[in-house]
Amino acid sequence: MEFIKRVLHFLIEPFKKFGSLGISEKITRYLTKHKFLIYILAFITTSILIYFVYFYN
Amino acid sequence: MILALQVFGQDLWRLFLDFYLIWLLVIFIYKIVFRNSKIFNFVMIFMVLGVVSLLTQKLGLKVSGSIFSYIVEWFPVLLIVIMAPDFRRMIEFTWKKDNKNENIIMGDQSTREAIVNAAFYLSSQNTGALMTIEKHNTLDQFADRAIMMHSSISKELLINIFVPNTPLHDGAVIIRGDEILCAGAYFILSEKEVEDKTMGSRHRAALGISEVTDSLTIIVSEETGDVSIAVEGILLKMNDKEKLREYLGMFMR
Repeated sequence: MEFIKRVLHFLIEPFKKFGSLGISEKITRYLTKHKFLIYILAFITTSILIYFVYFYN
Repeated sequence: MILALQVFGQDLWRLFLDFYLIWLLVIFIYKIVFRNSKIFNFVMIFMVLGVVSLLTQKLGLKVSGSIFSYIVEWFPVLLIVIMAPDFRRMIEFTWKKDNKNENIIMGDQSTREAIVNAAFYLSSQNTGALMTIEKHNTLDQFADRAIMMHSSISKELLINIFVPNTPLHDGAVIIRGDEILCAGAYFILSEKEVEDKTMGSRHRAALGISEVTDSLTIIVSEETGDVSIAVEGILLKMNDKEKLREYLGMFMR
């Protein structure tokens, strides 16, 4: 039982740690404060999309 | 003439129009996703699941491959169903103007005194209060749903707003410059873990607004009478008037 617990811990722990870092909160907070970044990101995404649709072959 | 211009065999006007429309659409999606950490979390999970699904299919894992592709297929529907209220709110605010007022007029000395005195009077009476002072980021979107006041600040008025069991006491007062813009404003609660159990939804609301705007919020706890401020996503306890005065002085420069 203890062994299974340890294995499960080993498998789950990295996800738990990643989740507790609060990366999404940090990103959303940063992008809310620096609103222009959303426009730049959208511009880059659109450029990539347009490039692939029109010019990539 | 311009309509005839071409780039790599493509009509320039068609490219521009297509680019512009897609850009607007992407901005709209990004504004919904990146402004709400709950939705953003779901999107991140969706991306991870997508990568796992792709990997399992490439590796020829028949069972997990089909299960993951099924999950990825239905995840967007699940996301919309679970996050419906958040989506509704985000869509509502997406195209509202983000007024970032560069020429702000902060309250003067008498305003600061009124706020400090009111906060500590309310604290002595164990009356809960929430006062948010606007800076560059506009709080109009919260004021829109509150009760507009546009009145001069005074200690007495602030105290009166927070008298329990009166229509305005529940919610926050928003202060713009030397006036009380509105009362009874509701903010989005912070998702941050608050260790101190005496801190309730009032503190979470104050933290929430401080995370998304550059405002400062003064919180008076109903349970303990403690006075705290929330700024930049941090809660700070104010032990005495002098400390609060000092912080307000720095903030309202």
